[in-house]
Amino acid sequence: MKTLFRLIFISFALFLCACDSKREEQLIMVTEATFPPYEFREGDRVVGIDPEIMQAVADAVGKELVIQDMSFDSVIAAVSTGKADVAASGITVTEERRRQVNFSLPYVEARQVIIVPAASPIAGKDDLNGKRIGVQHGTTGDLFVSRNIGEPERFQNGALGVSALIAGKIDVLVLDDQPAKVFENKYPDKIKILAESLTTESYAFAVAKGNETLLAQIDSVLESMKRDGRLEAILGKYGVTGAPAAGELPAAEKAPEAHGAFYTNFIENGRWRYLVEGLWVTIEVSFFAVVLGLIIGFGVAVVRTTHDKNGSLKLLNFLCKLYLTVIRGTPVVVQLLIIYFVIFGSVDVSKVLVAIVAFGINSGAYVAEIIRGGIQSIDKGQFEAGRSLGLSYPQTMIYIILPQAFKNVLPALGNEFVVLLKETSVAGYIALQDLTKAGDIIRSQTYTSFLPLLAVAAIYLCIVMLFTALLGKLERRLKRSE
Amino acid sequence: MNTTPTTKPEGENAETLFRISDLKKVFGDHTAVNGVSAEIHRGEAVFVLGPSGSGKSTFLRCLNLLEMPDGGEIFFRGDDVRRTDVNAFRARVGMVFQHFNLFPHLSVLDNITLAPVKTGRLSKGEAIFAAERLLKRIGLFEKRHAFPQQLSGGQKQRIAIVRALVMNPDVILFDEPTSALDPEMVGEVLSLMKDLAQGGLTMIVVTHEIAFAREVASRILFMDHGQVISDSTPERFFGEMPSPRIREFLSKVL
Ligand SMILES: Nc1ncnc2c1ncn2[C@@H]1O[C@H](COP(=O)(O)OP(=O)(O)OP(=O)(O)O)[C@@H](O)[C@H]1O
Ligand SMILES: [Mg+2]
Repeated sequence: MKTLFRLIFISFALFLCACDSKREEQLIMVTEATFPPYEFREGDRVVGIDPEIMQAVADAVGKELVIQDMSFDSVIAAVSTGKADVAASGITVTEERRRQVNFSLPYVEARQVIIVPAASPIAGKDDLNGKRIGVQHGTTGDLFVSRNIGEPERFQNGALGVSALIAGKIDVLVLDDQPAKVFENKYPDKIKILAESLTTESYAFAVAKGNETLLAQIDSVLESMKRDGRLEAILGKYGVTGAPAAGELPAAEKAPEAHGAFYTNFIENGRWRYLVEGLWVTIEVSFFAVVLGLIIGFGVAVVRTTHDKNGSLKLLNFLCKLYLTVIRGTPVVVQLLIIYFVIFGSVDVSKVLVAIVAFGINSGAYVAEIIRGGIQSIDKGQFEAGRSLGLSYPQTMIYIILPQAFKNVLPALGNEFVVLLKETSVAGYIALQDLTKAGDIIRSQTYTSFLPLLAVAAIYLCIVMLFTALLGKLERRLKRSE
Repeated sequence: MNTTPTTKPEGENAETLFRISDLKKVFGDHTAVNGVSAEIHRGEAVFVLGPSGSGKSTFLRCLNLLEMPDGGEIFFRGDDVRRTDVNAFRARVGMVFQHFNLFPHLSVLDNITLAPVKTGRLSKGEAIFAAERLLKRIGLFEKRHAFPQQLSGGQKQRIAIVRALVMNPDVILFDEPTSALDPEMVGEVLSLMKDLAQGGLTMIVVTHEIAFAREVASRILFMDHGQVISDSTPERFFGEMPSPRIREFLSKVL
């Protein structure tokens, strides 16, 4: 046993060394490859304008380019924490971001444009007040809208936002102009880009503060690419025309305010409110999903056991089995998106309700099997005693079998609810601002990951511990009879 | 105790509660009950004896339809049980199990009052009143708020008997009510059953307590291989001329 452990340890250490030595020869670029034409996937490769420019940089410095695909709201943090060398993800230069990282020379001018459904009466910036505005989470469009117009609905990527726009779940979508054009070409009858754009901005590459060598290398490569027309060629190749390769990086507006990380993440601009509101959404969704899951679970469990006992309810039993198979065989995120875009696709219902329905239906399948196991664990003499006293089948179930089954499976149910609570963290996929999303929003505004993530984790942990304590109390109360 | 009739059976004149003819029950390729016919009259204490596996329990469980018969007929007070409301019928036929089958999540009082209240026979108040009177009678009134796990086996079985009694049934079926008890607790259960029999309660009892059967039975059915091969008074059954099969059985258990 000891030798085995040592062996594992040694190979792990060797593995780490191997990685480390390789790291020196690599240029690690982080990006979210859902942003055509700047970066997108072609087969299993990430391609686009940013990868091509970075390849030129890598060639110039004699390193191997390694592209890591991650969510956009994490790319800046990845660079500032040293996990990667450069963030090249169509990043707009902003003051907040400048506090976290250093930017290269800008290589393109981009605009945030307003996309609306083809038949929309919205004609420009001035019509946006009071509208449901979608943005890509953590983008400058997100920042601009939240600052100047109101709380937007934040989507994980542009494609999800476009789906929501087409489904009528939002009135407008704010996106960078290039990807917006790609989407417009895809759905020319369904969406249109307004002539008036929301903002104009420059894209640049981000490197960690203090990494002056790399910054200088990138800048000199960019300069030479601008001079010899290579940059224009790359942009043109991807259909970016008339976007001049911008010159100097504008001077910083003002010195970054020197506040503590805690102040920036939670106090500044009242960011703690994201957490409070997110917590409330998480609790609301979890609570009602648990209730719905219990109702579905009990129903399905009773149908299944009744069928097993006397062969009745054939059709219902078949439907229940189908439900269990489908729900337990697919990821909850996929179910959530299907319910949002397909089931509730054409009706306008609150996203909280969508999440409750999705997580409730999901949880019901697991609860059903837990309770069915609980029912089967009850001695059949209990059932016979109930029936022999003249109680009907439902009465025997309700007053004799289910209370005992429930008590037996309470720990398993508690566990399922803890899992459910944490699973609601994917609610951000339908732009619902739950607790996890609240942390993401703060992260994308402050470009720090440690504190917001820590806060979110601590809050989840507290709820789970509180819930476990309450459950323990309930268990002890039910145990009185033993 | 007015939950049970106080008159003794009057032989042939007493009301027929069960009329069973040619009853059959098959499990797979094994015929557990193979053509049993019998009549049970009000006030009788009918004991069913026989070797293990002879079909006694199955026969008893057919009587309240815990097992669905595969053949033959059962009439209860003149009605074909398969054509009557099964829940109403079962409420008239109590059952006491070998393993008590008390409801572990309910207090003694709730165990007893659940069925009469939920079936609408008694109001909650009436049910508690009846339950407490029965508990006083068997000396377990102080245990009314206890849970089954806090009781001895003998106490559990007496509570189970009270649970059946409170429904004021026409007949109670006992399936080896003392087989799961420690020897020192058998007595308390048997003496309660004896009281009930002497009080005129109709009962059908499957048991291996031969001495008790001899003392309390008004009639003895002897089963073997799923059939009743002797239906007689205890005097005749334990008398001088038993069949070889019965003699063999008695020589083993006495
Ligand atoms: N649910 C069942 N499924 C299959 N076979 C059964 C079932 N119940 C009883 N049997 C069989 O039917 C036969 C009669 O069983 P039963 O329990 O009625 O006998 P018994 O006379 O009560 O025996 P004992 O004195 O051991 O309780 C036995 O062979 C038994 O194995
Ligand atoms: Mg038996």
